[in-house]
Amino acid sequence: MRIYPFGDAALVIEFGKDTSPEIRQRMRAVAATLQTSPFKGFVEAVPAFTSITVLYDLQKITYSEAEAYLSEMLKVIPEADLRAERTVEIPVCYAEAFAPDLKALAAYLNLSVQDIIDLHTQPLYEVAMIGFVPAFPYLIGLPEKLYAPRHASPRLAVPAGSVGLAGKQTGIYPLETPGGWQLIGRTPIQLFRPNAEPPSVLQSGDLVKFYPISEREFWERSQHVR
Amino acid sequence: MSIDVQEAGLLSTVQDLGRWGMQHLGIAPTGAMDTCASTLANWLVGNDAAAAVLEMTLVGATLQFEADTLIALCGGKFSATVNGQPLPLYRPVLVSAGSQVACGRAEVGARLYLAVSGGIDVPKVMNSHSTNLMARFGGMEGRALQRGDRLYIGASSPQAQKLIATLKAQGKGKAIATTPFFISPTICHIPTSPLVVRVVLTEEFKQLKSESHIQFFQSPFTVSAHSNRMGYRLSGKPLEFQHYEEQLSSGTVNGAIQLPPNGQPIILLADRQTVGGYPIIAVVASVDLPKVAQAKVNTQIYFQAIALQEAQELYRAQQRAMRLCKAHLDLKLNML
Repeated sequence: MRIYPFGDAALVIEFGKDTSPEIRQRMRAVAATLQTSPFKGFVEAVPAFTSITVLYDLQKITYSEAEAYLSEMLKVIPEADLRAERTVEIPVCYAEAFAPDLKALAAYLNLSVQDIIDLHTQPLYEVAMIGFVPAFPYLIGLPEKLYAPRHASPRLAVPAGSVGLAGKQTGIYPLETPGGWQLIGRTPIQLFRPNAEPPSVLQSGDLVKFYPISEREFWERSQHVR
Repeated sequence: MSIDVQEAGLLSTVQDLGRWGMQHLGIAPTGAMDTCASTLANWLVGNDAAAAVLEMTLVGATLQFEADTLIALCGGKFSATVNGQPLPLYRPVLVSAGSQVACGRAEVGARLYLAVSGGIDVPKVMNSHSTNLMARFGGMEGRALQRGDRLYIGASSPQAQKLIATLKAQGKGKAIATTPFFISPTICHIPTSPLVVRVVLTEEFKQLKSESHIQFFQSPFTVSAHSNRMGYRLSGKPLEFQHYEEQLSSGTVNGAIQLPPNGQPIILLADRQTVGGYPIIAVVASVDLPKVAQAKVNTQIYFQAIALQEAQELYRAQQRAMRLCKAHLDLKLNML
């Protein structure tokens, strides 16, 4: 673990080169401690896969002061986040209308469409981080049989709720944005709710289980603004 | 009290100092791109620095004021007019009821801030008035202004009320009344071309080829047309890494200079993605962020590396100069 400056108003705490359950646990413990007992000049902490970027107010604290404070803090923080894990179940409709890449992906992976649905709904995924756009969860735990490349050129508009795959990850687009992931389904759940507290349905560290629903159920439960 | 939006301008959004503390949920800070200019505009009308202002880009809005309103315009030099007559920038101006203010076009710089006494009254979302254009929330319904919009105005501070009374007494029958004092535009960051931007290098900078090390400082980069509040895409002679490696995504900051595989740097700004996987070779010094925010397309940028400690000292000096300006302003206002 090391701390290094990132511009004149932020620093990075790096926990390792590759992500692992231990690293993520430890990062969450550090992020939670920073939230509950921030240092003078603390602005915010942004946890990612293997690092936390800490933004600070350079009018209130210098880099060396912040670095010294965090080095001390890291010595006394528990190895793991002690909060209870939460499992969130997310319904996904894998019907063709919502899954523009499912057929081609099945052919590419040498699987049937049903195999992909079975494989995708089987694991308990972990939210490794939230980022890129509001409430976008990076989920890890994808079965190896589903590893697939991103599209060479991203789609200009991916509908809100789309469930996608890319590399070793799966995720859900909370908003209509451009995106290059392989789209295999859509959830009726609105992941980003600007006026709710918290505004993101999922938090880093949550466990996620997908379950299949029909097209009728999708429309009955759809929370997306049309 | 309210303002009628008769023409919206090119990209006019409601902003404050930003929605900080939400980046861990993927929510960018947004907020004014040139926080020096937005802060000064607010102080001129007796507001807190964090009151909501209107940020206008290249082509300003045309606004009709329903009631007598104390306003200030700061930032780039725009050709602003009130009922066809030139409207001075960098000072408090009482605009009389029914007047039409056309904020004009950017002659120098790119962004102009309109502060109104009492602040623009839009609901706070996650503790900020700033517009998040990508996620479509905050500010005016999460979008840029449109013709026909109505902007509501909050209550003036006691200091502003005194100034309004003084200006009303002197300005009878005229479209505007203003003070003899103003803020020196030099405290705002009107950019030149070429523009020297100071940066603090990161560890990833060392991974560039040695030719690219020299090139980063010696050859100019041009602000391309694909530049917006999310980031400025620069074009120049491509920079190359010894070995290009995408990283596991990590948190971004304002001013971070990303280097995608095409070797053309991108400066990430207020509406940036909250995490990114491209290597970041340097970060713009906080002191120079307002200057970058005022750079137009085709501006040539030269980067200059400074040490972290120097960057922090320069920023603190800039903030001291701002506070001194505020102290002078308060003195003038209290003498009314």
